[in-house]
Amino acid sequence: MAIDISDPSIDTLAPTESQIVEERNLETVEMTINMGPQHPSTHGVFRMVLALAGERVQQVEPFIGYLHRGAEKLGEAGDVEGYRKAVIWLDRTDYLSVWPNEHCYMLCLEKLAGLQVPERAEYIRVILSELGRINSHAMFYGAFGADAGATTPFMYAFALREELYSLFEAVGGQRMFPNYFRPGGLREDVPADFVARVGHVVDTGYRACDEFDRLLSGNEIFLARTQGIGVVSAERAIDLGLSGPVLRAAGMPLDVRRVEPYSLYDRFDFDVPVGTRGDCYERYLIRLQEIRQSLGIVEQAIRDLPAGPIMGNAPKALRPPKGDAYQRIENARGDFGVYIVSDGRSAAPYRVKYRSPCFVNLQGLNDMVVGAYVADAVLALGSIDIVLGEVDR
Amino acid sequence: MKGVIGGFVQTVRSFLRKPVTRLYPYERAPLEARFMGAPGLLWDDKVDEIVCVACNICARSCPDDCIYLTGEKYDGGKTTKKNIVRDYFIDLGRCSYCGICVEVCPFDANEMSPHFELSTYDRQQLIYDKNRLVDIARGVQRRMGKPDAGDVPVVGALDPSAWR
Repeated sequence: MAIDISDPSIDTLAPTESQIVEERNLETVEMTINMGPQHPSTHGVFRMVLALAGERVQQVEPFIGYLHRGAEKLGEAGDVEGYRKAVIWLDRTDYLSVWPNEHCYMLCLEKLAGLQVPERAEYIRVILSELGRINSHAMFYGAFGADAGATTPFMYAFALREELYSLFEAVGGQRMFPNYFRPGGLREDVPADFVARVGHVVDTGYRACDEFDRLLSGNEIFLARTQGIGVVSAERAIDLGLSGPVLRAAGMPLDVRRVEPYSLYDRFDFDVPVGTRGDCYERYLIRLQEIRQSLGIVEQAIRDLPAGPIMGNAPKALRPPKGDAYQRIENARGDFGVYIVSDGRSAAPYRVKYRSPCFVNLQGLNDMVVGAYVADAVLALGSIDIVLGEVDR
Repeated sequence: MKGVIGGFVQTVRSFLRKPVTRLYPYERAPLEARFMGAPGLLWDDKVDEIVCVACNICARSCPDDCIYLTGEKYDGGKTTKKNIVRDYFIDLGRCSYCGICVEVCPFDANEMSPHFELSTYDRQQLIYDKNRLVDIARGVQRRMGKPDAGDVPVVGALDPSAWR
């Protein structure tokens, strides 16, 4: 049956003042609904139980652990090549920002074993880590658009990600889990056409960013859905230990690459985008800005890429001395850390611990969601950009 | 309204562009030279026997414990081998295609092949035995773990007609 648009009672889709008043006076019973773990907008297998009063969320209780595989415990399991096996499991925790996480693991292991990395290897690591960050943020763009009801951004994001994954395949042999970094260097040198291909990807990336902006950033429906939604103040964000774009959107310019430069990040010129209001829209904008900053870092690294060896003085069978080391980096989701304990005897770590930014950022969900509509809870969850593989590990 | 119109403009622009998607089973994306598909066992054509000597290092280094192998004494006379592999199974349903088995092999006896279309109706069929592993690695050159492997052309990897 067609709707008669000349009917004066449906002249506008937005609720009128009288309708809102009517809703407030409506008597509703508090209701508990279950969302997830198979709900498509929970980004994997996240489950939350919402206590609702009408459309408003009164209370949210998250349940995690559906994707727990014991990646940290498995990292201790190998008797032969144990340090290498742990990387395989680390890759599969946060499957979107694999390159920065591998980078962090190797930096931590090199700190523990006292290995020197050749400059060329370190430059290549930075290039690939930044491209991995772009890959993850592009995925966020697609998924967040889908959360807000726009399915087209997904296609735009995947067009860019296809370019990146082709490059990763050419470098590491695998599209998602490359297993390419080694303690003390890289597995093998990059292909001969690496510089040209990265240059092409950077051009595509800038063009894709402009397209992302044109398609969604100014869209009034998207603005109405995301502005002022899921607000977390800077004080509250620090109290909860949030990091990454969620913290920076709240106005706190904390980026590990800047405050505690690791690898070669003190050599590159880049900005740390910071928001002011800390809502969903700013978290979205900051990630788009970070794609541009990462592309800038890649450009600089490609320009300065030195020739030379790609493997340092690493021994074939790595047995670090007794002790422990912690290394933190900025991955696509925030402050990621790897802690390795070595007993000095075995070829496998005695203990591996990953500081997962997703898991900690998820603590902000309560502040974002309580008092908001159910539809906004979906957006708030999407704007944290969780990867359940990393939350559950 | 300006933002919505801008989005439409972008949509029209993208409509006029060449599509990036491919009709997969009919139209394949080219594989990169380093692409790591299913691991396979190399066959030494010069002496016409398998390279593997069943030293078990790949099985012990595998993060997924998906390799099972047994060896036997060997004195075929063609090579200086003392042992040769008798059974070699890889459960490709568990394999994560990480390439560690290839890297740690001291005899260069295996290589990641470009095969990735391995779907079956039965999980049991994903357990590949020695003959199937030799089959999928035929025509593949050893490239991983070699320091200057970047520019070595890989036989069979780039040409989809060479696969099965």
